[in-house]
Amino acid sequence: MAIAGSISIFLSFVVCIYVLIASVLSARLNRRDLLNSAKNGVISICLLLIIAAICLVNSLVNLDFSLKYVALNTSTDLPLIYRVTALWAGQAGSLLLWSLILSIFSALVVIFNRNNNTKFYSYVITTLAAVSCFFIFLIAFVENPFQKLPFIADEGRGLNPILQNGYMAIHPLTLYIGYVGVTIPFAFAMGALLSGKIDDEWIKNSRKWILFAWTFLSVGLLLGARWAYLELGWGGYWAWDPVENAAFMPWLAGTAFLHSVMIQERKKMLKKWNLILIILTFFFAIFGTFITRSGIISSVHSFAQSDIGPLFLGFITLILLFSFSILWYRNDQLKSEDQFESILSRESAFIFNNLLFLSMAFVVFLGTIFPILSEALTGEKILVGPPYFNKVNVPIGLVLIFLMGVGPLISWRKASKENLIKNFLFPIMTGVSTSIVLLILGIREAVAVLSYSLCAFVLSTVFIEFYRGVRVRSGRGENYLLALTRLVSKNKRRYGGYIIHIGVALIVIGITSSSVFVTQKEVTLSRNETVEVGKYTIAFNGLQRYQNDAKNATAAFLTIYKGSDPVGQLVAEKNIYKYEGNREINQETEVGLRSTLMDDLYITLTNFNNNGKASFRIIVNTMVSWIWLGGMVVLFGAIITMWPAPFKRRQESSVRYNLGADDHTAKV
Amino acid sequence: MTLYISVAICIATSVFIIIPFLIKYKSVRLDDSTHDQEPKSSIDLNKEIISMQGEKNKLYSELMDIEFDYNLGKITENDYKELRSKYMGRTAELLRKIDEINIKPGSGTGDVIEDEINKFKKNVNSN
Amino acid sequence: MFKGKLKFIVAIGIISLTVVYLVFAGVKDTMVYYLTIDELMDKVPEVYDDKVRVSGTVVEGSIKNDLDSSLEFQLTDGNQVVNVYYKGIIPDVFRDGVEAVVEGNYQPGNIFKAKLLLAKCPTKYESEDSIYKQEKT
Repeated sequence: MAIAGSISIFLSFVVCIYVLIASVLSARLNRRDLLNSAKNGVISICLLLIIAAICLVNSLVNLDFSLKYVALNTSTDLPLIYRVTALWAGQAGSLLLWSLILSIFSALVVIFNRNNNTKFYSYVITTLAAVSCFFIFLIAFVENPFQKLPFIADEGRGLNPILQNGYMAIHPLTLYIGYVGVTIPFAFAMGALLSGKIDDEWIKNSRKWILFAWTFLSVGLLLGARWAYLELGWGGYWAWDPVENAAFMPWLAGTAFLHSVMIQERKKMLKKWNLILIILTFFFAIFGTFITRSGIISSVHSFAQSDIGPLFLGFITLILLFSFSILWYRNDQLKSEDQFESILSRESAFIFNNLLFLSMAFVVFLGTIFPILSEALTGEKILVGPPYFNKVNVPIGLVLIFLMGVGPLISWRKASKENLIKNFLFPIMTGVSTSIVLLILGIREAVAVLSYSLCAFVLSTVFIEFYRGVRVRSGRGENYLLALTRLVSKNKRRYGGYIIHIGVALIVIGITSSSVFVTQKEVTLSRNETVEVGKYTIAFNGLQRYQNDAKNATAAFLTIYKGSDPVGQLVAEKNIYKYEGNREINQETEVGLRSTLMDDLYITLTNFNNNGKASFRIIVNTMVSWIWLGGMVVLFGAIITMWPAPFKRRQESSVRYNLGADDHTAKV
Repeated sequence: MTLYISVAICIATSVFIIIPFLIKYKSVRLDDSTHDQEPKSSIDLNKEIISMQGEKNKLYSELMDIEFDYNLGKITENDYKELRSKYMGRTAELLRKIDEINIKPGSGTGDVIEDEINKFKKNVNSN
Repeated sequence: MFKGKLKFIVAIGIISLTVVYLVFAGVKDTMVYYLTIDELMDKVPEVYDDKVRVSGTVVEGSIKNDLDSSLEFQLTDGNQVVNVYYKGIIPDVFRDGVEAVVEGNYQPGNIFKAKLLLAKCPTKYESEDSIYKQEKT
C-alpha cells in the first residue's frame, strides 16, 4: 500500500513538471491541445495526491511501523481519530496535506473554467503548477511521508497529549486551507500579469477565493487561540509567538486585500495596488508556512526542524523576485482610472484601512524576524516580546475599529456635510455617551474606555444600516422579520459583511476586557481552606488520585461561591500520562474552568505535596467568551456573504421595466 | 498486486494527459487570439453571450445598490441621478448588444414581470 | 482635485511616520538580549542592569519545587552553571534535561531571577534514535 502512495507522489511530481511546461508552451505557441492536456494534468495530480493521502492514512490507522512517519507520529495506544489526524501532525504529512489541498483547489479552478481557453488561464495554471512543483518536490525528495525505517519499530512515538484535543485536531487543517486559498488569487494575478490581460477578470475570480481563504484563516486563528487558552494553562490565548504571528500576517494582508478588491470592482481604482497586495498576502502565507515548518525562529511551538528551511527561503526569494519583476515589466498597462476626489470619502476610508492593516502586518513581521535580523546585522540576538507588539498594534487597531464604523456609512467620492451629519450623528453620540457612562462607572483605563466607545460606535453604525434597510422594505408592506430576512438575502455581500463587522466588534470587546480587567492570585491551601479572588470565594475540598487507561491523575476539587451562594464545582488536575509510545512528554495540566458571559474563572493546580496541601493559580478573566462568540458571528456573516445568489431574474425584470418607463436614450 | 495497481495508475494518467492531442479541434488556437476578420462560429457567439450575461448581472447589481443606497438616504439626489444615468446607459448598450446576437425568443414568464412591475410601482409611489 | 490629493498624501505621510515612531519606541522599550550562558558570564557586570533571556539545559537533579516557595533549578551549557529562581507558570514539559529559556535579571552571586520560563523538548526526538526498536537477528 505504501508503495502505491510513494509511486503516486513521484508520478505527481513528473506530471507537475509537465503541466508547468505544457501550460507555458500553450500560451507561447497559442495551442488549445497543450492547454487541455495541462488541464488534464492538473486533475491527474489531484487524483494522484488523493491516492497518496489515502495510502498514508491507511498506514497510520493500521500502525505500519515500517514507515518512519507512522513511527514518529502514532503509537499503539493512540485513539483512532488521532491516527487519522496524524496525517498533518508531522513535517512530511503536513507538506503532503498542503500539496493535496493545493491540487484540489487547482483542479476546481480548472473545472470551473473548463470552457475558458485563453492565455490568461494558461498562465494561471503555470503559476499553480510552479507552486505545486515546489511542495511536491519537498515530499518526493526531501521529506517523504513514505520513507521506510531500516527496521520495523515495535512501538511508535505517539502524539503529545496536549495535542490530543478537538481544536488542535482541526486547527492546522483550517489554516492550511486558508494559506492555500490565498495561493489561488495569487495565481490569477500572475495569470493576468504574464498574459498581459490585466482587466477585471482576475479580480472577479479572486474575490470568491479570498473570502473563502479569509474565513478559514480567521477560524484557524481563533481555534488556535482557544486551544492555547484551554491547554497551555497560563490563562491567556495569544502570546505573539512566531508561529501565531505566522498565521496572523497573511490574515492582516488578506483583510486589506478583501476590502481593496471591493474598490476595484466598484471604482476601477487601485489596479497596481491590488496586484502588489495579493503578492504580499501570498508571500506572508508561504512565509508563515516556512516559519512554522523550519523552526528558524526558535519558538517553544516549533515541533519541526530540518533541512527544508533553506529550500523554503530560496522559494520565497524566487517568488518575490519573479512577481515584482513581472509587475515592473507590465507597469505601463497598469494605469489606474484615478477618480480620487476627496479625503472624506469611502474610497479614502478603504485606502486608510489598507494602509493600517499593512502597517500592522509589517509591525508583526518586523517583530517576528527581529532576532534573525539583529543577529545578522549586529551579531547579537535581540528579541522583542509581547510588550512591543501590544504597544505598537493597539493604537493602530483602535484607528481600524473607528474606520470599520466609518466605512460603511460614508458616501463614495465625496461626503457632503449633510451626509456626514445625517449618517454619523447617532453613532458618534452613542460612542460618546458610552465613554461618559464608563467614566461614571469608575473605569479609568484609557485604552479600555476608548476601545469600548469605538466598538459602541461601530455597533450603532451597523444597527443604523439594518434599521434603515428594514424600514425601507417594511414600507412596502413586509413585516419586520420578513423584511430583515429578505433584506439580508437580497444583499448578501453587504449585510453579510456588516454581520462580520459585528462579530469583530464583539471579539475586540472580549480582547479588551480580558486584557485590561484581569484578577490573578497565587495561593497555597490546605483542605477546607478558602480564598477570595475578585467576587468569587473558592473553597478547596481536597485532593484525589485516580487512574484510568490513559493517565494517573491528581485532581483538586473546589467549590465556587459568589458571596455565600454556591455556584458550581471545579476540578483542576495535574496528570501523568501513562507510557505512550516512547514519548517522555507525559505531564499534563488540566484547567478547572467556569465560563460565563461576564467572566471566566480559571484555576490551575500548580503544585501539591503529600500532606494534602495544594498550590493554585486562580485567574478571573473578564468577558473572554465574547471572543469565541464573536468568532461564531464572524463565521455566520462570512457564510452569508459567500452564499450563492438566486435573485438575478427579479433584478433583470425590474430594470428592464425601468428602462422602458424612463424613455431612456443610451449614453455610454 | 500493488505493482499492477501502480502500473495501471501510470498508464491511466498518461492516457488522460495525451487524449487532448488526439481530439479534433475546430480551431487549435486559444480563444483570445481569434482575429476579428474570421466569422464567428455559433459556439464562440454563445461564449460571448455568456460573458455578457455576467457583465449584465454585475451592472444590475450596481443599479440595485445605487437604488438601495438612495432609498437609505446614503447618497444625495444629484449623485443618485448621475450614477443611475451612467449605469443605465451602460446597461442599455449591453442589452442591445445581447439582443443583436441572441436569436432565441425572450424567456421569463409574463407573470413574474407583471409582479415586479407592480412592486416597483408601489415602491415609487411610497417614496 | 490636486488639493484633495495633497491632503491625502499628507495624511498617509503622517500615519506612516506615526507607525515608524511607534515601532522605534516599542523596540527600544522592550528589546531583550538573547544570550547563551557563556555570553551571559562574559557580559558581567554590565548585564546586571539589563533584562535578558538565557537558554540552556536543565541540570539533572537540580529542580526544587516546594510548595509556597519559588522554583529553583540550575541551567547549564555543558560548561558553566547558573542558579535560577522563578515564580510563575511552569510548562508541562519542564523537567531534568530539557532545553529551557529564562527571562529576567542576572544578579551577583550567580543568581538569575526569572520572570518567564519556557521549555522545549530536546530535538533528538525528531530523529530515529527515539524510535523504539528491537534488534533484528
